[in-house]
Amino acid sequence: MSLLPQSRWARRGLVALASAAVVAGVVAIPASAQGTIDKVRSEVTGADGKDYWVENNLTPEARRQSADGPRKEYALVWAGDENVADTAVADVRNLPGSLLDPVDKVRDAAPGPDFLAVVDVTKGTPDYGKVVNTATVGPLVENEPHHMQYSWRKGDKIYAGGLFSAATYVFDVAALPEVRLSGISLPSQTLCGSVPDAYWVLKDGTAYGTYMGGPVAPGPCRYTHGEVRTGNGFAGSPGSVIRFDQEGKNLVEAPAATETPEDPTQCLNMPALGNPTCANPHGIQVREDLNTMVTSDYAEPRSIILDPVKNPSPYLRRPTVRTWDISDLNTPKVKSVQYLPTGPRSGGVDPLRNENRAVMETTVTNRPEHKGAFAQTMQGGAIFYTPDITADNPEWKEVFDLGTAAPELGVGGENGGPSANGGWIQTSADDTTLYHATIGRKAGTLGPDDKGTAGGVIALDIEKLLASGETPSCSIDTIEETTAGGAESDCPTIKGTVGINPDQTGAGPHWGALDNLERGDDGYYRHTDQPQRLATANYFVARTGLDGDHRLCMTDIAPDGSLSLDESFKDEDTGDTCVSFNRQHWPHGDFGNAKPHSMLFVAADEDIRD
Amino acid sequence: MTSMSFTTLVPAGGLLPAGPAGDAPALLRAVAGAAPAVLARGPQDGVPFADTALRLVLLTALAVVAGTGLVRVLAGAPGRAERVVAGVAALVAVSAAVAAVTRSGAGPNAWTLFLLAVTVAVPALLPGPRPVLAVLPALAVTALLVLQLAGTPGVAPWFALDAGYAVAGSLAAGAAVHLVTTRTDDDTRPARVRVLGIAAGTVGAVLAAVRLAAAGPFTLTDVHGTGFGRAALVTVVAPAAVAALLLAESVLGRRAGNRVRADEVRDRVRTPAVLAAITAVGAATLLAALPAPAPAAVPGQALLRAVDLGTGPLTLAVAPMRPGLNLVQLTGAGVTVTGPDATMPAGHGDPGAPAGYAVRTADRDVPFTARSGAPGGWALVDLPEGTTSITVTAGGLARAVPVDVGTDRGAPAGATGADGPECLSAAVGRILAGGDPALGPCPSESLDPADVRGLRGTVRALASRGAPGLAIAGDVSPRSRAAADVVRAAAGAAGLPVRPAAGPDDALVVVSGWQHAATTVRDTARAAQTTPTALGGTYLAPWLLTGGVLDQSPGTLLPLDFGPQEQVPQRYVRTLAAVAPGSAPSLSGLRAWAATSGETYADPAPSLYGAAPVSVPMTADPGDHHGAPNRAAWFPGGAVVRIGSALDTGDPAGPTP
Repeated sequence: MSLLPQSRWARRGLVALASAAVVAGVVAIPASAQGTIDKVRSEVTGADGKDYWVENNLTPEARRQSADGPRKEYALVWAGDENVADTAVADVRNLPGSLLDPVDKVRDAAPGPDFLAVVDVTKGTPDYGKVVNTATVGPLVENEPHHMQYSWRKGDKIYAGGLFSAATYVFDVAALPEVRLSGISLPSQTLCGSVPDAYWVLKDGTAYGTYMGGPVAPGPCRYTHGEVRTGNGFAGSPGSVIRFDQEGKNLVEAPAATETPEDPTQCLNMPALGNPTCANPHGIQVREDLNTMVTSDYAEPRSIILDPVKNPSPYLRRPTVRTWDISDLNTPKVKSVQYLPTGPRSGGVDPLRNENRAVMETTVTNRPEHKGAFAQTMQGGAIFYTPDITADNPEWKEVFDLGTAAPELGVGGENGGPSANGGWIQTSADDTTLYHATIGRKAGTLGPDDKGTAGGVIALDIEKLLASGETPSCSIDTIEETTAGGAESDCPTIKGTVGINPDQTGAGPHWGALDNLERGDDGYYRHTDQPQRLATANYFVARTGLDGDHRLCMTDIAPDGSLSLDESFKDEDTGDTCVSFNRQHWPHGDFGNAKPHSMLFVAADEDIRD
Repeated sequence: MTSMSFTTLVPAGGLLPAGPAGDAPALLRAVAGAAPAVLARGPQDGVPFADTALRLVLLTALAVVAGTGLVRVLAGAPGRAERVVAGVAALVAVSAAVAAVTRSGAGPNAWTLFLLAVTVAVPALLPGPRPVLAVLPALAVTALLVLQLAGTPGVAPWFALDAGYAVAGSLAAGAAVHLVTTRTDDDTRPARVRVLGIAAGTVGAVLAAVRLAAAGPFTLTDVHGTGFGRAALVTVVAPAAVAALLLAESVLGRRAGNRVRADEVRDRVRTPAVLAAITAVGAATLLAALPAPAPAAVPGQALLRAVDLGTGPLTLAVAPMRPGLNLVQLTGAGVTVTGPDATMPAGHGDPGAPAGYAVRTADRDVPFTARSGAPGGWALVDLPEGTTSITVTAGGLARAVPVDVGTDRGAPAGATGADGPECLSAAVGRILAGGDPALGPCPSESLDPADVRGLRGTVRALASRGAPGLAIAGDVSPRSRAAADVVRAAAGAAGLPVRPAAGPDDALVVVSGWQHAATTVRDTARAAQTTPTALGGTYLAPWLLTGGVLDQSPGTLLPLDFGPQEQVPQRYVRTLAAVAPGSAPSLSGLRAWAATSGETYADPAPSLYGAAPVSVPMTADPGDHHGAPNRAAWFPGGAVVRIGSALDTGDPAGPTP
């Protein structure tokens, strides 16, 4: 028998079929962990009588935490499932119609659960950057996970809002990496506000939360203490501030709008209100020692194109900051409504990008000798400062223009202030540094010649500004100062910058958090006011068209304040720097891409010693 | 017999993105013991590419293993090369089975172990003293293959048809592998095996041809124009090729006259025969993972199918499929409509695309135009008896779609009027759940008792909130008139004035159909921009929960007895998105889908829900700030959330007014 043809065939068959076997094996590997996930569910009954839950999906890495090696520190990332509501129509409809069309997009289009991702951020360990648990929430889907509080301390619950579901989840993280659900606030419990945004946890563990949107139903709404404000409905105006207990119960709902009309020119409402108001609180920070809370008004958080020919009015974006008297924590009262000044770039031609437009965030100083606060504008691209938030009418001045820092973040960089898309802003606990995340501006936003700007994080030295007491001289009031920095000696100066996606425009981070934990020689964590790193996430709100690449990045802070991307914080699947939330496999299943909005550094209670 | 009952190689439904999960990865479930999460979601979910690939590899390898064992009856002891092929095929099958188990997340069970054992047993027995014993495990492997390719026994003769194809495919593969790996001077045994291969190929081709004729695709366009059609065609051609090649070998070999030339003929035909046999099995495995072209149009039943006009799949729906006026809907990426309503934002953010979509019947072109409150383009066409097709055109492209309107002119009331889109939406809901595709009775023809309770509760809530009065916006449909009566009666009982038009502080209660409601809500919102108008709120009847109405206002309220974001309603939404991209979810569609599928979703009492376009204004280019919401949501670009406790609905609802 001649073996030659047979041998050739055998060789061909062997190679082809062995290759198929390898492919099959490779297919098996990514999913092999699925069978080893521990599912632990925590449920509460909502005000509507229905069950709401968190379901932990703990990986083997989570189970072996602390068995040996260092105690673990985690980043908790509040993330939403990417689904059909976020995907371009064309993508979803690219259904398989031939042998060559993949079907994966159909699968990714199915709405999966939103979740709190527990990411191991114990630097220097093999599990650094691994997602060790995804605590999925249910039964509500498409919450659009948004903000939590700005920082976490041992004993605090986690307050996390769903922008579209108008729900506030309260998570218990004492036993990390497992997460429990302590409570949930549904929109029917917060009738005078909607669209929850951010939270501040008070010393007693309760929290204030900003509800940016108007009463859930149009018309007069009666607040906890009998105040009445007329609103134009869900996601409209005016918003409110709500105090939650540690189970998510509404302790008090306070109006953000004043009894009297606010500036009808700058405070447009749709539909129009008899009492125009800019009260759409977004950012919130508190100085309990000063009995003062500060909230910043961002925008009426809904948009509808009633006239497709006209663009939405820029005056739906707010230029206001409110200070509140919280002497009685259950009776917060608006004390002042301040309109941030327009700056040297402002003009009547394009008020959308005036320096004071869209006050997204505010941050207070922390040390007892300081009473000031900062505010930043997303569209305006500027940072403002007031030296005394306890004043009857705090005076705010622009102290920094993002045009000064834009060239250091990456490509583009010209005229970097307008539409810089700044987001997270945070003073360091020791009041020496101001950190600020900026998405940057997509090329072409300002016109065909606009090269756009890259995004990243900047660190500003604010020691001189705070040292100037109640009479700071810094004021950005010339065009030159918008790029060169303030001329006055006490103006903030750049300590450090780090570009994130520096080769792209408009692809930087929206949100961030400082790591306020450090591990001592005894292996336990303690809170610190000298953070050595911060985390950021490249995501805003997909529905707005500003989506981001969904990466969680870590930035190291050197002793001199300079910033650098932590290259060792890598994605466990790709090995690339930063942890990508665009992945197929999650501990809770193959639900595809997710949208990380906000994050906190947290450790289990037993691993922290104060 | 329709393709719907032919549940194995032909997926159910018209526009499925992939085959029924219960069929396509059935073996994965069998070997895994438990359905992977993706498979548990329902028959309309897409089959992931990896599962499809696994299925192809696993079943094709199993067919080779089974075939090499089965042919032992005629072939005798295998040569070394044949043993190697059998061994490698078994290795591939085992690897794929292991991959299936690990992908599913469940551990191995008895099925898994049995599969692995019999698969390994075939090549293990081949080198032994009695290789014919390999027939026994090969029979078991064949049985597993039959179960996978033919689905559940009991739907004979279709089960027998597919089972026969599986056996024939295995035998053809086994025969071809044996012939290509065996060279002997004694032609007795190879000749028998060749006859077996010819017979198996012929039987397979005949069975596949019968299946193609009986279960579709039913048009040549669908056969060569779709992946499913091409795969179905391959299931016919490939086994026929096996038979033809082996027959050619036999004939040409005899004519060759000498052994050298006979060997040349053999070498030329046997390798292609092996490839054809494997391709035949592979194509059969793919069928269940590919979208099947729509079944043939049936008089009185809504037709739902995909058409491709060069911009990707679009969804085409035709109803009521009766002689006379028929409503044709075209949705999908890039469908731009013209006409009286085309200037209104039928969903801001819809992508632009080339204009000029039209439907051609006889010698008339009817352009697709917008309908307020409903997505996509709409055309009202006259289809006389005997019409066999309509043609959808865009630019220079035209696609013929077979129709059959029959002779019965009894179209349901409301099917083609202002409420036609909602009527079609209900029919689509039934189709999604595998129910009766017949159109009607249309939702606009009667008032659902649940809606009576919702409207009563709404009026009582308005009265308790101190609304100064209300106005009713309705139309002439029977449901709207009945609803207006309910609202009027409830308002009278609550002492709430009903005015002909809403005053500045009044509430507006909208009880019309989608089309009228969309314009009413939009006009009210526009008026409110400059003049206080209906500040008491715009309240919509429950059936107006659809994106085309909701997105006309900055804020509306609805009494609903279910949470739109909860699991069952979301299952309907995503099923609709997968099967009929571009269609808008609707309450009528949900009700029809749930009633057919047996799903329960309703709360005991309705509550008020608020709907608003929440998007958070952004700073990107003007006009780009709101992104591109997808229609596959209750409120694309918006949110619908419960904002109150259960409504007081008063007395239990009586019969439908």
